[in-house]
Amino acid sequence: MKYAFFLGCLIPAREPNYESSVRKIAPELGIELVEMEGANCCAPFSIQSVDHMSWLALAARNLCIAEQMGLDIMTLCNDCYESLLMGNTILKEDKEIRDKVNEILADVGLEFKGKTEAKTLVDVLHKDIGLGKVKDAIKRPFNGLQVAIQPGCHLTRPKRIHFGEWMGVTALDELVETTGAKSIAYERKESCCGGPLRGINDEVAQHVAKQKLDAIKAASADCIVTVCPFCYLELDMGQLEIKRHMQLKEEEYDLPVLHFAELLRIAMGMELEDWEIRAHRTPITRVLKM
Amino acid sequence: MIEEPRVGVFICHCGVNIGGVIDVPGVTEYASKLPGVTHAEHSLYTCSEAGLAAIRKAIAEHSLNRVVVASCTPRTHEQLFRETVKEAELNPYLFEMANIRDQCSWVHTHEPEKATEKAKDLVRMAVAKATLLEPQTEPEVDVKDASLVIGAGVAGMTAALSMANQGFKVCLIEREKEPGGIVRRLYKLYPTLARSSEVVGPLVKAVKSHRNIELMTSTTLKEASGYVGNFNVILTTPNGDKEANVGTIIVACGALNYRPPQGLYQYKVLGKVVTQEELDGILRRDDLGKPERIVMIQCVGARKGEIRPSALEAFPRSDTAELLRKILKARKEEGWPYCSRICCMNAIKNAILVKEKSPKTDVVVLYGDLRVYKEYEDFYKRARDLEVRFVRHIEEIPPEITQTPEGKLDVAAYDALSGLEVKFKTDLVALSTPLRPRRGEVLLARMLKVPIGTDGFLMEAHLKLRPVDTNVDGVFIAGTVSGPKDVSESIISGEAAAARASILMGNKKVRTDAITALVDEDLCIGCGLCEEICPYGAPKIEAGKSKIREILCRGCGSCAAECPRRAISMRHFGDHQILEQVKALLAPAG
Amino acid sequence: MQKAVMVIGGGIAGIQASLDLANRGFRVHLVEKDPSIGGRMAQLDKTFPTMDCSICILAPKMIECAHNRNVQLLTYSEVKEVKGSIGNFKVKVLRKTRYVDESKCNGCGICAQNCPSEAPNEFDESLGMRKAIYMPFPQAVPRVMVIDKDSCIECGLCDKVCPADAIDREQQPEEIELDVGAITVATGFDMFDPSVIPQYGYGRLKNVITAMELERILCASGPTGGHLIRPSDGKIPRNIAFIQCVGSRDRREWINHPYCSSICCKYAVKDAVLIKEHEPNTVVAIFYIDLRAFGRGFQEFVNRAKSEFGIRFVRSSPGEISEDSSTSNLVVWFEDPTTRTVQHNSFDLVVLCPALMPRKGVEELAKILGVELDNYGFFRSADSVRKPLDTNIPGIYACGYCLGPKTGDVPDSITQGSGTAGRIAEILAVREGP
Repeated sequence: MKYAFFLGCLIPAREPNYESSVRKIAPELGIELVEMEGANCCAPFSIQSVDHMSWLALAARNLCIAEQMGLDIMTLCNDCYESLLMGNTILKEDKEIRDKVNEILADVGLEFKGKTEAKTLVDVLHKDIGLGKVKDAIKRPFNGLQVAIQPGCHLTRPKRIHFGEWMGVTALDELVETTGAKSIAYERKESCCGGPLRGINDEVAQHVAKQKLDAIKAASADCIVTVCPFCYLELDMGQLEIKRHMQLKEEEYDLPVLHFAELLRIAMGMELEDWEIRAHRTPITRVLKM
Repeated sequence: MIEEPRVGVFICHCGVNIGGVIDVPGVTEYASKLPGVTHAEHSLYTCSEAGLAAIRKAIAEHSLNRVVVASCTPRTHEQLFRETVKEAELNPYLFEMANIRDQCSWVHTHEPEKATEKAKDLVRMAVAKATLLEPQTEPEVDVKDASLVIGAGVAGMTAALSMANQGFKVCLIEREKEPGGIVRRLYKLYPTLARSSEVVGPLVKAVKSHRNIELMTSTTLKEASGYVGNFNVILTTPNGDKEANVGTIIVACGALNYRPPQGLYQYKVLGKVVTQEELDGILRRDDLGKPERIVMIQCVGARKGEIRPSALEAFPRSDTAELLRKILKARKEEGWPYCSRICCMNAIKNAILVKEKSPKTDVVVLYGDLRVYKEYEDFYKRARDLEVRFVRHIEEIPPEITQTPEGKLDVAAYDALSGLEVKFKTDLVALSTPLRPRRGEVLLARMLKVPIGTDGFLMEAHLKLRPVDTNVDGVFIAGTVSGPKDVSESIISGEAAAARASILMGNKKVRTDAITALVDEDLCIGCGLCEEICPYGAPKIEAGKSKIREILCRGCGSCAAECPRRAISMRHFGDHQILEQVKALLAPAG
Repeated sequence: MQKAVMVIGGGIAGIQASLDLANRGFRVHLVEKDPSIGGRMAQLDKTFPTMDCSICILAPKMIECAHNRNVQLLTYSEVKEVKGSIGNFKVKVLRKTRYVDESKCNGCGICAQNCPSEAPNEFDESLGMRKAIYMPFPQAVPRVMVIDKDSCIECGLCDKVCPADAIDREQQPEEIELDVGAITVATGFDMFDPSVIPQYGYGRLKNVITAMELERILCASGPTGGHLIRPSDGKIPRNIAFIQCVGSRDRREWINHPYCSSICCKYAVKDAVLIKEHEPNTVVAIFYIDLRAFGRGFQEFVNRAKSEFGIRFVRSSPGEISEDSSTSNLVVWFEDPTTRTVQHNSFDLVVLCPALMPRKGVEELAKILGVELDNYGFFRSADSVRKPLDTNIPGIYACGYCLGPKTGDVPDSITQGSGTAGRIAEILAVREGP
């Protein structure tokens, strides 16, 4: 299965380990990733709230590139996913808006035709590849690993355009369990990690993250698994920041955070490289042993 | 933040430069009401003795613990004000400047009201940052009073002697068995026609006998690490590896004469086509005989190709070897883009020597531009007086060389004045080729982290202002390693590099700016991106964490921007300080 | 052995020598005959081939000189007598009268605003005017006014308005005696006066100017505020010619500058590029004999001038410049090298690149120092190959253009300045002990 690979901005700059794991597991699962030459920033939620039309034009431009490649897009980041999926849906449904956006795109010789789909890793693995094939690729299943998934806000919201109520969460649960780990229930599983508030109001961001981490710890998880790089950063670095800024000496979370792709990679029997292991602020040695 | 900020704001009129556009008293009044500001005043020239004294006085009188000067550019005056603040017993980094001249009054001369508002904004921002400034300490290291000079040519020997005479210990290494470099192999030098031994001989004698110089021949640099004042070097000598610890390094490893590829002007195809270097050897061995004619062709392999002078920097990273390989490959086909400066004089010198040995020999020099500069015009005249013929040819049509049945050579060129083809039957053709950088220089440059220009020579720190310094503190360059030069120019640059190096060693300590990078080790994951991106080699990953050698750090901020975990921040330019300025700017004015 | 040295001449070479010596621990007396240091580089607009703004890169060094604790600036001063020998020179320096108290004046300029008397501005090559009391140029170091007594009408207004009470009408010249261990000479160059070559019309034809005059016109701090306009009518010239080697490489006895001045080809190409940057529609032609753009980066710069800026290079030394009196346009007569016929082209402005010669007064200084000059009046190197910075007197060195056109550009002047600092350190900074 071939996809136009949309990496977004955050992963190449700050989490190359996410990308490297995806590239390693893709061929084993029959996924071929094709570079999107000239792709621009997806224009995440923050831009949508400043200028709606600019956001749509930016998202449309990426969709056009994929259209020209004749492929669907696979994203790794929830924000990119939301932006492209939402943009794609609106442009397909609303002719007036589509015409306006195409006027803007005409300046760069592009036209949105509505011929591509925007997907994310969870979509692709669950729907296109299928749980069966994923399970077949598992060579080293986990033994007794309790995973708290962080689906992230934009995997499942807004409900209208994402696949079904809570289905995104279920999909990720099922994918995690193909690896032999258990995807546990915990309070606030669907809630936000606090990431979007980083840099705007750090205090509130940390407070939200703390609520999440407290709930995960209360549920006795061994580790957290994310699909969104923002959630990953917020929950991984967040543990250190909370410890520092809230000065909670007793509150030692010690919850390793992994990208789902990394979890899958380990379960598929591949070794993580030294730098990939070090990229996790909270050490993942425990996970590697289970 | 330590204590309650007590900011003093000093606004400068700069004569009429600022005061003629901006309502300085008005801005001062405004500044005095800003949060954190204890005192505000204005003066005609804050940088004058009177102005500086007023700052010192105000600091004492009002117990100021932060100082903001709103005036001209920090590029020229930051150091001055920092020192003034220091004299008033305040840490010099508790000082911030707002540029309300170059960035305000000068560029908004015709809009005084708007300029005044902007000046208020700039002052408000500076005050906001000032409230968050913290005292900093400038890193200081000892400088070892020994120097390593790489290359014992005339430049290297001159530099070594200059430093040794001042009492510094010099380790002078030379890759060949004998010191003297390229000049040693020359016959006579222009414009005095002194024998090269008259220049090289005394220098060699002096370096061999000087008690402060250790001359090591057949020796190369294997490894270099450390930083200014404290370089650790490993030298490969005939008796094994040797370690040394020096305070400064002078790179003087020279350049080589370019040998044209086989076939160019029939070089290495017809025996009677030689380079000027080879002609020099012939003259030295007195092997010339009495040829009927010699033709010299200028700019062989020089001034070729179009290289833009703006793209002059290439950093010694993993791609440099690739870059130089590309350049060398191109050069093999086209030649080097630069003018090698000395070849015109060199040809004239050899022409004169030929005439002196064999006055009846007709010497013809084919040239495009004859670059005889300085008072060497007299030398050029001397050649013309000896009836050396200078023929300007059309360079775009390279001369053709063929062999005649009698075993002589035919040189066909196009005379620029008449536009006609001219043919010379000649016994010998001498090709004037440029000096080119040594290939081994790439490795040396990488070891020392000195950049190389696109022409392949080592890069000086600033093409105009710092001709013998490099970007790396404590490493200097002399001689042709940084571009073609004649003997006197090489000697002068050797003296200059030694002078600059001896400043560091003479002062025994060296200090740098405190604006350096700071690593939060808890956040650092040891990915090494900082080490890779730093142009100055300051960060080093040790035990899985990044350690910044502050003495090397220039505060450029590249590492802080690159770090994927935001573990690096810049002292004196922290995110929180800059964001405070942004907030102050966007806050309602007035 | 003394730990003080003297540098005569505050241009870029002298400034570099002073800074290197000061940082090496010597006390430096920097003697400059003009009221400010800076020299020729301060007058230039941009420098080749980097196109840096000249004063922008020079001013920080000038300020460093002013603030370095080891440098004593003796501006508006001249060396009158030198006795002694290496390690122990006794020098008498005459401090000329500014009629302004250097310790009080803060350079505010209020006096000049009120001064009623004007004189031609030397810094602007007499293209503009200055007052009788004036600041040599905006970035002058030291930042002190000076009164030109010849133009001063003694009205006393400056004294009335000066807020620092810095005017001193009774000021007398002062002679001071200094003990120094070594001396570096860095007196720089003057431009040859091309009016001696009547066929080029300099001084007679309004729109024939020298390269230095062009620099001042192009410079934003100059008499036209950086606008490229020509002297006769203030119009923007659309057709400009540069003529190289005016006086240089000239063996005629009354000119006597057979040498090449080394930097004119380079700066002409630079100025041509600058002109194109100011006025892209202006056409520029350079008339030359040999294009001496030697050394690193210059051939590349010339290539760029040709390909990117379309500058026309004509290998021909013009015979004559005549004028169309109705337009003040100029006609340049030359032999076209490609057709071998005599041609004439019309230009709005002609820029002459004159020979560079030793500064006025250098002969006298050389006598005072006991140093030999060469045939052209430059300081003679003890050995032009082996000891290029030494003079015939041990302990006295020379750097920069006063040594002759030894390439003469900024990096070489700086290298030579540092070089003399090295020569001096060798002799005076010997350390005792092992």
